[in-house]
Amino acid sequence: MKDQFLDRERKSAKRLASMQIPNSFKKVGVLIAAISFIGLIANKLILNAEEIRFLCRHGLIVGFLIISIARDKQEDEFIKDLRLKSYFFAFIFCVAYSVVMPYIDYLVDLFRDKESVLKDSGDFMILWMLICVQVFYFEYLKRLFK
Amino acid sequence: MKNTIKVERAILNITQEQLADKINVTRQTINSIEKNRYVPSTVLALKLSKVFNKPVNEFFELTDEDK
Repeated sequence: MKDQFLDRERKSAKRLASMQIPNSFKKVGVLIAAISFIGLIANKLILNAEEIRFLCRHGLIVGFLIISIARDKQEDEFIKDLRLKSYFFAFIFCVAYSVVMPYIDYLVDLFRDKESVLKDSGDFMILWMLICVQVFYFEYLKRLFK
Repeated sequence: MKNTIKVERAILNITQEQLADKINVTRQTINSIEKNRYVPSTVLALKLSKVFNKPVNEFFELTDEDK
């Protein structure tokens, strides 16, 4: 009974860990990210509406997430290894970023004679950095081992 | 780990691309294995063994770093 339960748990954990979507979705991700990016810039220049900014930021993250979990044209074990390395690097980079960045911001503000306040990097910034670093580092690794 | 995949490939007179197609991986993977930048899984090693018709330890060898 216990073994059966553990076996089922192992299977579902394995399935969850290797969750990927077909390669064709990569284009959808690029499209969503591009539209959101253009929307962000247009909103900044024309409307400056908080709701549009919120939607575009989420669109950007969703777009990059789709790119991140979309399979490569030929996803073999070497590509999977590079993908794993890119997630590892992105995780370490973002934890370091979120810990160090508030202090850098604080020091920069201090030297610019601005009012210095210690504040967090923010949810969007951390998520954006995480997903962005993973996607670009993965592409960088693929080119490095071409 | 070092290997003689390049030599085995030359014996069969096939390109990296052709070898990659035979074992369903990318050319990048074969290139990285040949240059000792990537150690393949047991499954992939056995697929290579089938293509070269030789035991795995004839073209893969442990180095001092692995001991």
